[in-house]
Amino acid sequence: MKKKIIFGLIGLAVIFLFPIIDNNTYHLYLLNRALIHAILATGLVFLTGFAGQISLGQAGFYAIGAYSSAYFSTRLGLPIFLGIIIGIGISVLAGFLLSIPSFKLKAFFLSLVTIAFGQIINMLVVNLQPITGGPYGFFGIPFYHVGDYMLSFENVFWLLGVILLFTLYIMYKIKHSHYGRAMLAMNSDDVATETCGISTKKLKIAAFGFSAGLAGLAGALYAHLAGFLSPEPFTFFESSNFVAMAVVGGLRDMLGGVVGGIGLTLLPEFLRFGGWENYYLMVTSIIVIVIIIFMPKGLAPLLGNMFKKIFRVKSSNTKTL
Amino acid sequence: MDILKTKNMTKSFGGVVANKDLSLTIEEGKITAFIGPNGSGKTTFINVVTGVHPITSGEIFFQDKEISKYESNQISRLGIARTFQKIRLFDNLSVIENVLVARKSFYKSGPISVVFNTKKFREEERQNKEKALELLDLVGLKDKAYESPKGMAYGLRRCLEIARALALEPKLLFLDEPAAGMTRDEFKVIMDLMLVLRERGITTVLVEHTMDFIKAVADWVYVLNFGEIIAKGPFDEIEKDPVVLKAYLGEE
Repeated sequence: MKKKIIFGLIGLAVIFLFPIIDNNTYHLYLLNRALIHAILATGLVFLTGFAGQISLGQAGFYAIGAYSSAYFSTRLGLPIFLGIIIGIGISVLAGFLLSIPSFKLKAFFLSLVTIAFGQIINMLVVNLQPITGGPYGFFGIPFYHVGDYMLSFENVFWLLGVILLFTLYIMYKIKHSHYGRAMLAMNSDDVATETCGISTKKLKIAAFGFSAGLAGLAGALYAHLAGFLSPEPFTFFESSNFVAMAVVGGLRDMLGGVVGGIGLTLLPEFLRFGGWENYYLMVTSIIVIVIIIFMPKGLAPLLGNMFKKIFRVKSSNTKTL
Repeated sequence: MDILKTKNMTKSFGGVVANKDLSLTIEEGKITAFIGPNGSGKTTFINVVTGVHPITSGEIFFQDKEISKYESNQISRLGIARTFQKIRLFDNLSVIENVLVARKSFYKSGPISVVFNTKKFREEERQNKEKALELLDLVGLKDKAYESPKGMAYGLRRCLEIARALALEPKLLFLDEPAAGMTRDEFKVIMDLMLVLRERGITTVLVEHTMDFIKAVADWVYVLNFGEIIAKGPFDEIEKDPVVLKAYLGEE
């Protein structure tokens, strides 16, 4: 157990020192995007892998978080920090709303409702021009700063890393509590969960709220990183991309969202160079398909096992309690 | 003392009336059995009382409190637990976690206490785990506590389901065909368990086809046919009742 913690800390240190070794601005921007996607995909792992619900409208919450934070910090001049909190808050409320159809609907039908939700938010982004800037975009969103000090891309990388770690910590604690057990139980059998004295409605509200909150947080973090918003990143295509991240990473794994979010953000960029410019998106999709077919549990459990073998870490019984 | 009372309880699925104007009482501290041919509405009765299926009309009272409109989870928290005809365990959780799921309503710690891992939460975890282990011990599963219930023998899975139901600290326990598909030895374990539960003051309602089982444990028997009660009484009387024999065996 101690060995595991030491290796974990060394690994974290290497990751956190990365921006000092490679300070190419574009690489750092990509890494920051990757961390933001990791936060969002972690929310989906919670919603789908743990609680057994589906959302193909996650880009809707991403948009709500992004535009809310942009609006409150740019138009109303609130500090970025408050803008992000408001963005999360509004997303969580929207998540509560989207949980209502899940009381009655499952799987296929629920996913249709969530797609519709994503489309509605996308339409609002395009048409609510006074607030969102519509297709012309939302300009001049302030970059991360503390007072007059502008954060560098390195600083933002560290900030996002800490936020991601904190997110994982919260998710870990919840998973290993009475709430987490109830969510996993609901995932397995909701009738039996109800007869154990647990309101599955409340659990669904909480699960949608949590994952929507993380998507909103990711959106708000993106808005201040990019400085400019347009409707393109908030489409159904992006929603399905987010689901792909969670699935490829591993829906049942704590680190699934991290592996999938970072992996699927960086993979196309690796494939982009060296004469592959025309095909990189296609190749990315093929790789996703291959992973889903041959590794249905995702990459994270595989990487976990590799890690254990290489460092000969004895598997602890963290899985059961 | 009646722990449960139904008044004209009716449940229909489309045109099929599964329970028709059932008015009956369950006596506290006793073992009551429901028997009847397949499709006579025994399981439907359990499903409606435990809120798994909404009632069509009529009323249900638990300890003189009307519960007809309650959700399944509220009914469970009042102290009505059940098992299912087709065993429903959480195969993605370990044996002890299955029991702990039903302990959730005994936790007072909110999400904040969980995230900050407060002393109060750790203490609650410890107490509930202890309680879960105690129940697993009662049904003979203590040594398998940290294993997966997936692939466990049928009889053990049934025992785990009963332990999970008992984790609610129920006043009234419904067992839907607990002996179905069991070997003679496994069946004996469940029978002994039921007698222990009666000693502890838990009222049990049992749906069962195995007559030896009912003869050995039941204090009172209701016989259902086509959703209606056709006979009631101690097993020795029921056994000889011509109406019951006709329902089971048909006319000569």
